[in-house]
Amino acid sequence: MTGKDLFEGLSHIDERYIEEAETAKSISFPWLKVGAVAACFCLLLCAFFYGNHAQSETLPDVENLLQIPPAASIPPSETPTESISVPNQGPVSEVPSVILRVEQMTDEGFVGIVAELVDTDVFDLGMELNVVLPQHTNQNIIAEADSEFKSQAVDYKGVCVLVRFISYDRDTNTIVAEFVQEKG
Amino acid sequence: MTDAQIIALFWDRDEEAIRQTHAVYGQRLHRLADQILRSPQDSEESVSDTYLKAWETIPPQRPAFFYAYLAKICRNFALGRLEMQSAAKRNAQIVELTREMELSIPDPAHQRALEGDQIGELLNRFLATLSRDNRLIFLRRYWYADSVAEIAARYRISESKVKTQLHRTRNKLRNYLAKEGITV
Repeated sequence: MTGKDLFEGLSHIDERYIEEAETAKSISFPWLKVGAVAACFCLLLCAFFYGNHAQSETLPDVENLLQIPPAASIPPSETPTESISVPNQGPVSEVPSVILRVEQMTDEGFVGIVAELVDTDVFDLGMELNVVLPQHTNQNIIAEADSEFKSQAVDYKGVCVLVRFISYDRDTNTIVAEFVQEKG
Repeated sequence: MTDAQIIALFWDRDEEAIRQTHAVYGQRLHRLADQILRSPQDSEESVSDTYLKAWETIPPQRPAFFYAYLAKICRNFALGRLEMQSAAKRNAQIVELTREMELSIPDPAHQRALEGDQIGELLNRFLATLSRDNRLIFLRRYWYADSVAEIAARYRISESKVKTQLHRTRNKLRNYLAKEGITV
């Protein structure tokens, strides 16, 4: 086969390609792709700068829910109240709360689904969050809700809890809880 | 008059079909033939032969893409006339085009002979793998015999861009033909 054969062989191609090459008056490739790439780059830049403003802390060692000491032992100065930045509201002055439905118990706490927003709109309803309970979570309140809970690894799956949290890591969707209370 | 109406005239064996075909597509067909032959007289004869062939083949044909159907016939006649021209008279651009297409043959020295329609089928499958934009540029160059400058002006892109795309597509074609076992 020669170049001439190829050139002449083009005479046998599908007519729709011939028609397409005759009727198409513009090429979309250069502008669309450049525009799409530019838009993606801008989005990445925005995500980068916005993500740098959100605070994520190193998570403390966590203990089983059953062994968490009372909240009274938390020195007030160690409770950052402005670690969460809310996209539409700016930094919150009080420790924010959210109501979660417990999906699964974990060694660090539990995985919950956002069931109700209380005083922050950082999350979306239905969003999954990993909840990590620090050493100083208020165990007494949980214990009052269910006295058996502190002595057994009770599965709280399906239970709604109010979680007051002190930090939120967007990368891992993890919140560090200061306070957890069963809503009933 | 629409394509469907002109084709209906062919089916009715009404010679008005030829006049209407000429009115709608004569200029484009003439330009296509001239791109190959670079001779107004030869081009006119090719176009006249095209009308006659259309009259002979419609019916039973009822082309889905009327212009493409005519253009294929016209191109074949033009290439046939080109064969008859002396080497000195042959359109330098067509010589250049066939040389460019030669670059897409994996191993010109060891090729099995393929019929034109077999090559056409191969090229159909190859064209289907291309993006629309690359296919347009490729066919405007090697089917319609447009110059690089004409393609650049048509799609409002740089000549450099046209050359780059053609080069890449020829490489793709070479790889495609090699994969299809064109090399023996």
